[in-house]
Amino acid sequence: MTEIMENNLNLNIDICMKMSFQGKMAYPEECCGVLIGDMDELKIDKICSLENSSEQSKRGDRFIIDPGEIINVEKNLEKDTESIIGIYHSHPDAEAVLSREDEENMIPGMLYIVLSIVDEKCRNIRAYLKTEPDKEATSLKLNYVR
Amino acid sequence: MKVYISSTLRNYFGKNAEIETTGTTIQEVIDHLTDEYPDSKKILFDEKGSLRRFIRIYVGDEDNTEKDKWYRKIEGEEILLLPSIAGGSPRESIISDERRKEVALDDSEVERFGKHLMLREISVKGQKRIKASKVVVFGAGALGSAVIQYLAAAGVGTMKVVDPETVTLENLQSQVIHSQRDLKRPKVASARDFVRNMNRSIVFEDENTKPEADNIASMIEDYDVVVDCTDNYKTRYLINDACALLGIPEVFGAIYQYEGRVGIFNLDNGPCLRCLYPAPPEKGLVPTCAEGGAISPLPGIIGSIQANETLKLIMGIGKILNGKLLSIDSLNLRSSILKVDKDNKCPLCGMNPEITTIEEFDYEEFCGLKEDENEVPVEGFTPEELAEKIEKKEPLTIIDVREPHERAILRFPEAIVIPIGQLERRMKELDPDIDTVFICKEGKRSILAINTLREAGYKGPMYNLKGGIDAMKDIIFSNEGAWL
Repeated sequence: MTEIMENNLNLNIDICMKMSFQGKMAYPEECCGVLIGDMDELKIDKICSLENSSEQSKRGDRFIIDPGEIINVEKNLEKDTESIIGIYHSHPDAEAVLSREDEENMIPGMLYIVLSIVDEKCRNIRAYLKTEPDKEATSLKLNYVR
Repeated sequence: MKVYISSTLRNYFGKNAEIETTGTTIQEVIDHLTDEYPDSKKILFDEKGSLRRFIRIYVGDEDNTEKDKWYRKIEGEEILLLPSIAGGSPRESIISDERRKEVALDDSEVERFGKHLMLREISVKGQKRIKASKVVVFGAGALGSAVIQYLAAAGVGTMKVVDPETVTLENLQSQVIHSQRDLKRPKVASARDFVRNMNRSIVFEDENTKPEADNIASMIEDYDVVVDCTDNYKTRYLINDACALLGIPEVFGAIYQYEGRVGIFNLDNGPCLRCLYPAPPEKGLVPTCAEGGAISPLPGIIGSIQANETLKLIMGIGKILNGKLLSIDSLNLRSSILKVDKDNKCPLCGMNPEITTIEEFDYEEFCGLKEDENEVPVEGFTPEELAEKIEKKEPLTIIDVREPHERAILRFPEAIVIPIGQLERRMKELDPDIDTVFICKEGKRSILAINTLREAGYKGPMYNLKGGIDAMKDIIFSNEGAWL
């Protein structure tokens, strides 16, 4: 957890490419999925793309992940080494900042990665974390690693 | 009963995936869990005790999150605590893409706004949005000066300024768009000159009118954002209500002495001013800005932040004070951001709104501006009448209820000084057989003083100096020349 204190997150470039690819494919709608890895080491091992079940998904500014999907993902994880440590989603034609909607629905202790997809290109990626339920989310500095 | 905890919530349940609990209903199971894992209480419930938005409770594959299902007996099934993961992207800007594409920047504008175009977040797209935007600024006073100045410099396409007042000498301490030669001119006329001198291509509209319930809607209709730079509660609530009902976001700003506040209300169904302040402070409790004073650069700081928020809102960039209130204390250099929650019971923007039109709401009464009909009216002297009584040396007690720092500016000769808070205790100093005149700066707190004494049982004749010492300034006494 020390790295969280320093507000740094190491992000593997391959994972980054996968997320931005999904963001581009879903454009102009939002893509979403979960980050899988080890929260103690703040390490993302892989991602799992999930369906955006929002009825308003066509508007391109809402996403909802069905709780049933989360259960499916969790039951297929390696019990001791893997767990869901965060959520990623894209903002089509908008900045990679948390919207009010995002911030209100944020689960404390989970990593949030937001991708800004503009004209089918990934323009920016940012990561956020809320440590306590009623605190504001803080932005993490991303270090891209291989 | 077995409870499955999603890995997204496990940190608050001792990292356990499955917990065996006693209890046969969801309510009992939750009570058990929160007893066993006290940390889990804050993740499950908010301060008011409601289940948080991101928690879902399933029994088998059935959603049982609704509280009415919490008391049902569950047998042999598994309870699952799951997250509801949701979110959305921010609407990019309050200026639509169509409107942005309709405007173009010419060569001189590319040069003029070069420093904006250099910024990645703003660039041509943002500058076009600024040019396409239509903004209303209420108040061309201290806050308004900073707002008008920077919005004009940034190249806002259409700006309307509403202010009923004229420029006075005391305005020049902080209202930097007006100058000495503007004295006695309407503030909107002076603001127009300022904007035209800066950039002639800005469409400037002015209304030298006081905003009231019957004209406010027409003042803001078809505009993108409203900036509140006014200094009184009635107009603030009027602006807030009109904005909420017409769905126009509002950038609120207020200053008092050394402190200032900025916030954004009525944006995307966010909270409104009434969610933050359901009612104005009681009459007489808080002096107006004109009575309380303010340090000269403070409105510049607060107004500049208002202008900055307005531009960010127009361009849809960065983090804005939506549903937040920024407080700045310029004396001790402290600042803080307070979260403003939307009030579901808000009479304006809540679930069951009571205020649906502006015309039917009584703002005068709400803000304590209406004379109470049951209250005995306060009699008063005009400055001329009081001057005459002083000249004729009629028996008279004059009580100055102002604060010490106000008296340091201007002393009223022969007045007894009793601050409002001490009036009741020092009632004996008054002679009920002769007339007593109460004075303050504007003649409002003195009415409060008279009512306070009346309630305390004082029976002697009491009079108010109408308009206060401010109105007395022009009176010249024959024996002393200009003594005030």
